[in-house]
Amino acid sequence: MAVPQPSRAEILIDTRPLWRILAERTYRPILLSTGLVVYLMVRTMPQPEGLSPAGQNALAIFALCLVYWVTSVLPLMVTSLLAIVLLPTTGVISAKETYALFGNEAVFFILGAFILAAALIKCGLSSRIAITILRRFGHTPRTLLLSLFLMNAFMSFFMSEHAVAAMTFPITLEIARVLRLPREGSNYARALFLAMAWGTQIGGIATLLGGGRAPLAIGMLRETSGQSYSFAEWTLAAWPIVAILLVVGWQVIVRFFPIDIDSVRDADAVIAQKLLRMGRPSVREKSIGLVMLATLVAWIVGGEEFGLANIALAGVVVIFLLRLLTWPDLEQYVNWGILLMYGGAIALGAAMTRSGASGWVASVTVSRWAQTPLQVLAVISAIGILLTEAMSHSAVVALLMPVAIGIAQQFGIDPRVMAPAVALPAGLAFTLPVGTPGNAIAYSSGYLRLRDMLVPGFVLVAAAWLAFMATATWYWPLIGLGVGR
Amino acid sequence: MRPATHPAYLKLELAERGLVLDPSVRIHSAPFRSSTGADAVARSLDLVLPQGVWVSAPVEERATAGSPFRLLVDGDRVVLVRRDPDGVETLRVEVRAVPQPRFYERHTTRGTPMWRVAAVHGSHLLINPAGACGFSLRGTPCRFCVEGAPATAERDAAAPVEEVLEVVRAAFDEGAAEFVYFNSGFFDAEDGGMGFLAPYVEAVRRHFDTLIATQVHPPRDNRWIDRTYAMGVDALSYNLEMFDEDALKRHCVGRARYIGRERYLEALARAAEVFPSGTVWTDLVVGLEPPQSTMRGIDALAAMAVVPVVSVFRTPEAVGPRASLDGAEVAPVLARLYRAVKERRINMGWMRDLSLGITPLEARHFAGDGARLAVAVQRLTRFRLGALAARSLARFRRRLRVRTVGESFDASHV
Ligand code: SF4
Repeated sequence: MAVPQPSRAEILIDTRPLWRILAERTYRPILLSTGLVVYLMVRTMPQPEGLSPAGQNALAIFALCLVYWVTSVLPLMVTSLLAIVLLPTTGVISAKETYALFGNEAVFFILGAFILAAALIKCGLSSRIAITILRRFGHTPRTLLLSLFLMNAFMSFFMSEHAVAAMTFPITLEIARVLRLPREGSNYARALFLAMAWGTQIGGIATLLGGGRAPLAIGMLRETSGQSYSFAEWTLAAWPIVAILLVVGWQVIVRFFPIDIDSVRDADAVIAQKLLRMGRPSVREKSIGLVMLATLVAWIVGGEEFGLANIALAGVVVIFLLRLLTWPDLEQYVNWGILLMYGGAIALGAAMTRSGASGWVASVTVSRWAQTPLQVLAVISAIGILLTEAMSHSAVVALLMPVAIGIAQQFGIDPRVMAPAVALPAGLAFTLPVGTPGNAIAYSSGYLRLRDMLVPGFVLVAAAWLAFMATATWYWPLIGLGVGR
Repeated sequence: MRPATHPAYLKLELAERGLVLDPSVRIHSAPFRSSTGADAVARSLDLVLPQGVWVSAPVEERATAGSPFRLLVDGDRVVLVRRDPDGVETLRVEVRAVPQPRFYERHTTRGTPMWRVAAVHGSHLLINPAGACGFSLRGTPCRFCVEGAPATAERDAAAPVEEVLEVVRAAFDEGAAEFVYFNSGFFDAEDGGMGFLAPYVEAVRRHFDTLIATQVHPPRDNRWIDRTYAMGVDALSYNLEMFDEDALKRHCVGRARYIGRERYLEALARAAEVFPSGTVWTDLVVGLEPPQSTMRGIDALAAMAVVPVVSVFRTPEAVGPRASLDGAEVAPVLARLYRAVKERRINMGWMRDLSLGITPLEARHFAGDGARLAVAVQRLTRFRLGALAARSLARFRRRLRVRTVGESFDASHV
C-alpha cells in the first residue's frame, strides 16, 4: 500500500492558550459589527449643528473606516474599497467624482516609484550600493554600525523604506552570523538590527520616495485645497528632522547598546567576498542607475511643470523601452493593494472636506484642546506619532489628514503646512514591531527583545516629536511654511 | 502484608498473577470476551472490576498456576474469589464479565474473519492494519513482544480501509466498543507510521462520530505530530515502555537503536503541547527496571504533561521463567503515578477503560485519594450526553488550534 504524501497545505498548530485563540477568532465579527454599529449610529443621530446631511454621511463612512483601519480587521485596501462603494451610494459625492479622486496623481506617482524601486532591486543595483557602502566604510565595529545606519537611511531617500529593510535584512543577519553574535545579550547585534530598522525609517521621511505617506498626504492636500509640493520642497521641509534624528538615533543606539565586540574582521571578509562575487556592474545595472538618476533630476527640476507622477511613469516607460525589466519581474515587487488603499483614502479625505465633515470634526476635537496654531500642530503631530507606533503609516495619514485640513481652515493655518505635519510624524515608529514592516523584520531576527525596542524607541520618539516641533516653529517659516503663533 | 481490596490493587494482582477459571465458567452459555481476540484458546479475559476498573486477566493454565484468584459463575452473577495459601477466602467480589463480541464470528465482504481485523480491549476497538512490526522485520523485536515479534505477515497484506470500516461499523452497531484505537508497529519512515495510518484515521473520522487514539512510534519530523492531530487523532501514544536507558537497550533493542530514548521524550513533549491535556500517554512497564527508575520516568513524563500509564510485565515464554512482582514495591510507584499527574494538573479523565494498563485515576486508590471531581467528570463522559459533549469539545478545540500556513498569514496580516 502506498504511503500517502503529507498534505500540501502546511499545517500549523496554534499552541497558545485556548482563551487567546478564542478571543482572536471572535474579535473579527465583533470588530466588524462594531464598525457597522458606529456607522449606523453616526448616520442616524440627530443632525449636529454645522454639519450638512452629506457631511453626516461622510462622517459615518469615516467612522466606519476609522474602526476598520485602526484595528486592521479588514485589509487596509479593502476598507478603502468599502469607502469607495459607500461614498456615492450614500450620496456624499457622485460616483464619477469618487472614481476621479481614486485615480489621483499621487496614486500613479506611488505606482511609478514602486516600479522604479523594483527595477533597482531586481537588477541588484540596490544591493551593490549597500554592499559598496559597507565595504568602503565598515572596517571597525563602530564604523560598520554607523555605515549600516546611514546606508539604510540613504537608500530610503530613493526607495520605499520597507523595501530597503527587506533588502538589507539578509546582509545584517549575515553580519551577525559571521561575527557569531549570540542571540541573547549581544549589544552589537541589537545595535545592528536597530540601526537597520531606524535608519530606514528616518531616511524614509526625507523625500517623497521613502514611502507612500508623503504622496498620499500631498494627494489629499491637492484634492481638498488645490495646493501641492514639489519634490525639492518636500525634502527642504523634512531634512532638519532627518538630520536631527540621524544624530540622536545614533546616540541612542550606542548609548543603550555600547559596542561590545573588538573586531569585525569576519564580517569584513564576507562583505568583501559578496562584492567580489557581484563582479563589475552590468550594463543593465548601469542603465537602470542612469534612468533613476535622470528621473530624480527631472523630479527636482521639472516636477512642478510636468507633474511628479508623469515623470515617474516616464521613467517606467523608458525602463520597459530599454527592456531593463519584464512585467512578471515587477509583479512580485509592487504592492498593488496599497495603491487601492491610497486611492480610497484620498477619495474619502476629499469627500470629508468637500462635505464640511472634516471642519466639523476639527471643531469638536482638536480645536477644543488647542488654542493657537502651534498648539494645533503639537497635538496633531503627537497624535500622529503615537498612532503610528501601532498602526500602518498610511492609515494614520488617511485618518488625520482630513481632520488636519479642517483644523487648518478654522485656525487660518496654511493647509500646506498640514501635509508634512501629518505625514512626517506618521513615518516615525520606533517602539513596536507592529509599527512598521522595518521594525517587524528587525524583530523577527530573534536578536531583539521587545524591551530593546520599547525603551530606546520611546526616547527616540520623544526626540522625534521635539525635533518636529522645533523644525515647524523655527525653520518652516524661513522656507515659507508659516504656521503662525 | 494484608492484601488491599481496592479495585486498582485487584487489577494489579490479577494482571500479574492471572486467575483460574472455575468449571462453572466453562459451561456458561455466553463465552466471555478474550483480550486477545477470538483465539480458539483464550489466553486472557477482559473483566470489569468494581468502580468500572477494566482488567485483562491471564487465564492460561501455565501462566496462572498458583494464582490466588478463581472466577466462578453463581447463577446470574460472576464472582471473583481470592484465597490465601491456606485456602481461606480473603475476598469475594462480584465482577462483570464482558461477553464475546458477536462480530468476532462474522466475516468481512472480502471473506476475512472480523476478529483478524480488530479486537476489543476495554472500551476500545484495537486495530492494527499494518500487521508486522518493523522492529521484528529487522530482527530486533522487543523482548516482551506478543504482537509484532511473532508476526510473519508482510505489510503488503495490510487490511484495506473499507474492510476496517466494515468491522468498525459491526463493532459499533452491537455496542462492543466506544473508541477506535489504531496501533502500528515500527515503520522506518519520516512519519513514524502516521502516513500509513492516515487514510484509516481519515476514513473513520468521516464515517463515525467517535474519538480516535493511535499508538505509533515517534516520527523523525515533528511536523508529523502536528499533522497527526490535524488529521483527527484525539489521543496519541509513543510508547517508551521503560525510562532507564540501559533497560531500554536490553529489552527494546529496536526502540533504542532506531529511534532512541531522547527522541521518544522529545516527540512526547511536542505532542503534549499539541494535543489536549491528558491525551498523550506512554506506557511504562513495571518489573523490567527498578521501581526507582519507573518513578523517575513518571516524574519526568508528568513534567512534560505526558500521562504515564503503568502496565505490568507479563513474562512471555521467550523471556524465561516468571518472576513474581512484589506488590509492596509496586504500590508506591502507582501512588506516585497518581500524585505526579495530579500535581501537574494533567486531565486524568481521558485515559479510561484500559484493560492492559493502570491509569493515573485508577492509581488514586494507592495514594488514598478519592479524586472525587476527576472521577465525577470521567463518569459524566460515560453517559451519552457527556460523551457527545466530550467529542464536540475535542472537535471544537481542533478547529481552533489547527491552521494552515496561509490562514495563519492571513490572521496575522502578514
Ligand atoms: S514495538 Fe516492540 S512490542 Fe511493539 S510490536 Fe514492535 S516489537 Fe512488538
